Amino acid sequence: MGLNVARIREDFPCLCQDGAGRAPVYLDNACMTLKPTQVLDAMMEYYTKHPSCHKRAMHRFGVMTTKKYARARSVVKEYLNAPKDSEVVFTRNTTESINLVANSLDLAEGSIVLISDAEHNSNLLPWVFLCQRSGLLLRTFPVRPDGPFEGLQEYREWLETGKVKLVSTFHTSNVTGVTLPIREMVSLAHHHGAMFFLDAAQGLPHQPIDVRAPDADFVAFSFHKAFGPTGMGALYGKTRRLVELRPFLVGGDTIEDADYGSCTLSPIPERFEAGLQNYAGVIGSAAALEYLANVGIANVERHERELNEFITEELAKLPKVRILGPPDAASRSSILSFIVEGLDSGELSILLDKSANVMTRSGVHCCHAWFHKYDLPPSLRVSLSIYNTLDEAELLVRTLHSIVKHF
Amino acid sequence: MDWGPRPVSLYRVFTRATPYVLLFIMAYPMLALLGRMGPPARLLAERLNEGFRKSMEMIERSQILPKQKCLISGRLFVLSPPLAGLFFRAFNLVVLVLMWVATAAVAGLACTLVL
Repeated sequence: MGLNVARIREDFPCLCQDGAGRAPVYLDNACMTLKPTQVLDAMMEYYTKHPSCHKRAMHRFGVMTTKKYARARSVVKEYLNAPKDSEVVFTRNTTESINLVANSLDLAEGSIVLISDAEHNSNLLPWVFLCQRSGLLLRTFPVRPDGPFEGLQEYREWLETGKVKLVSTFHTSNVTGVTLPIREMVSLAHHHGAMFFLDAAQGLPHQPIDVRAPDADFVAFSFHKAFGPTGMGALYGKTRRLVELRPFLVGGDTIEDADYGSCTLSPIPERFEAGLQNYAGVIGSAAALEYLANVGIANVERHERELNEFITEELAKLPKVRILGPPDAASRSSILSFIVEGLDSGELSILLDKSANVMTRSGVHCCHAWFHKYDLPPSLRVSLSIYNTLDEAELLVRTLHSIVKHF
Repeated sequence: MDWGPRPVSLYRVFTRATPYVLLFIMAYPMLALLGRMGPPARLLAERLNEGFRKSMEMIERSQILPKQKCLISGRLFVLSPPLAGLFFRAFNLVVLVLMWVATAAVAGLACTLVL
């Protein structure tokens, strides 16, 4: 069954706005998706019906919040096909999830942490800091700006040194949209005795993610890229990995008992969820995943691929446009990053916004190191979602054609 | 692969590229004559042409009030894309010429006051 885009758009109130006589065309979903009324209603229900903390409070509000909080964790577990609720930790975002593991891991000096050279700063800097602090070595395998991913050989060679203890890489690149062969990479990592941390921030909203296959040790993602509220993310970790971590943020709810010299840590995942949580955010996040499950990830994938193929085909006709990553749209998920020769991408983004109400993203997309390495100028990124239509894609293409022709 | 040039400093554009372009435009009739003369004169004309082209490129690449340029161009685009494009391409040069005029006016005024 296909996607009923018109029906879906009704769920997103901000799409009904009228900016100077034009409906908004939101193409910055790789940064953050829009929020459906189902998520907003779930969050508002928390604040209007039972605004209290969970577990500590024995009153009616507290009991309701505790139940919904636990239910939200179950929803995430089900969506990821994780074995247990206790393997899901709520965080503020993918960045915090990665930092949690990076600051809590105990690896021997001289061990190698292996990442791709195209990681978002959130999956680069925690490891840079960890390596500087702990005497570990940070090494990279290449993800070139042109064409499909061809860095598997170099990835394998690093693993064969026997020194790699952790691999941390993206599922789908937030710049080029390329998806890595994660199953094979996880299998290789485990074969060589390394843990695998999967940054699924761009992957989860657009492709099926099952934590049992590819069986990564850790998986992190952000709800704000999956129709959920900002300030919410989750970290999945295998039980034996989570219990090995020493919590770096401690306080209320992370311990069962304490005195002035010691404490008894709470079981997982509570030991990683310090202080009062973002209850509305957690409840809204569960609503977001339920919304996504209702729409159907296969439908999402197909719809975004069709739009991406159309835009790619049209942009390929423009001689001044250079697409980053694989030329084949089917290999780029919902993302299309490109450079227009002679036009600054920041200026292009403003022109698209002011002339046609088309919202895109320009710059280096928090991948400074990669852009420097391959000597690339900042690019324009278009990222699609379930509420984008063919009409919007045509408007984008038409406007770009006109800009390239006249500017 | 060449992904395009980088922005240049406003100082270089103001003090080198803009005066070169203005002088080139003023001297164009003479340069056109040069191009019809013997090889050495023609070579000189070609080099001066090349300098003009590079100066114009520098001016186009410089970041002069980019947001304002794009805001106005974007609004013009709705009325007429060709007009918006012309405005966009001419914006930097017009602003630089106005800066030169303003600088000359201030310098003239300062001289007058001193004298």
